[in-house]
Amino acid sequence: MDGWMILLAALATVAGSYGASRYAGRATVKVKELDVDGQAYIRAQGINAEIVEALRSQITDLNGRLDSVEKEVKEVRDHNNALIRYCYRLVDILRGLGHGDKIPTPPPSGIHI
Amino acid sequence: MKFIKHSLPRINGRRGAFQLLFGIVYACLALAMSRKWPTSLEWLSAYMSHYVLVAIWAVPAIVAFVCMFLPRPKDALSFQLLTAAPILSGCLFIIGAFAAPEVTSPYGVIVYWALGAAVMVVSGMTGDSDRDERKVKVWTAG
Repeated sequence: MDGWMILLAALATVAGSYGASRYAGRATVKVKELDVDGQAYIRAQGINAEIVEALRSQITDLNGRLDSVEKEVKEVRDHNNALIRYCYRLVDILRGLGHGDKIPTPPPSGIHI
Repeated sequence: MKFIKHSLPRINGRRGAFQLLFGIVYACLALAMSRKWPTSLEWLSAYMSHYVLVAIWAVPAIVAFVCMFLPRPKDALSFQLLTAAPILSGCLFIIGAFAAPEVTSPYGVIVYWALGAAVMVVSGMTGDSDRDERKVKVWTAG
């Protein structure tokens, strides 16, 4: 081989080795940004999962209470309707006996007789 | 016994184990080259001392044996030298292919560059039990 070829080959050898070595060094000391992002993501994911679980539990509890309240409201409404029908009958009896003028008027607010 | 175990410096997880393994391999190569010039690199004897060729493999091996106890990124020098040695040797093999094509095997280049590539890949990896003292850059959205 000629002298210049050897020089060229030596330069290429040194450059290649230096480049590879530099890559390895940079990969080793690279700032740990991605790892932290990953850990932050995992932490956030854990917190979000806890919040979602708590919200689901609250929704289940509220649904149960809503069912109970709706059932109670229906019973009260039925009782109220029965009571109003009973009042109509009493008012009719009182008017039949000639005591219609003694029926207190107006009826309480929300009650229509 | 427990006292001795805790007193010994701890190898830095998988990165340390990798450096130990490659340090042993490089030390074996240095030992083999100290006995005789590899046939493919005999052309080099006209340009440099035999000890330089041995040092190319021995120095990374020694540095790896020291750095395998250090946390990342203090082990950077070890990975740099472990990468440089096989890449350098691979290049010398390529030059040898031009200088003495009848004795140079292409397998040497492949093996050496595979060693270098393996070190380059592992240099960016971290095991679960590795001590890692790199700077941390906290990323915040927005």
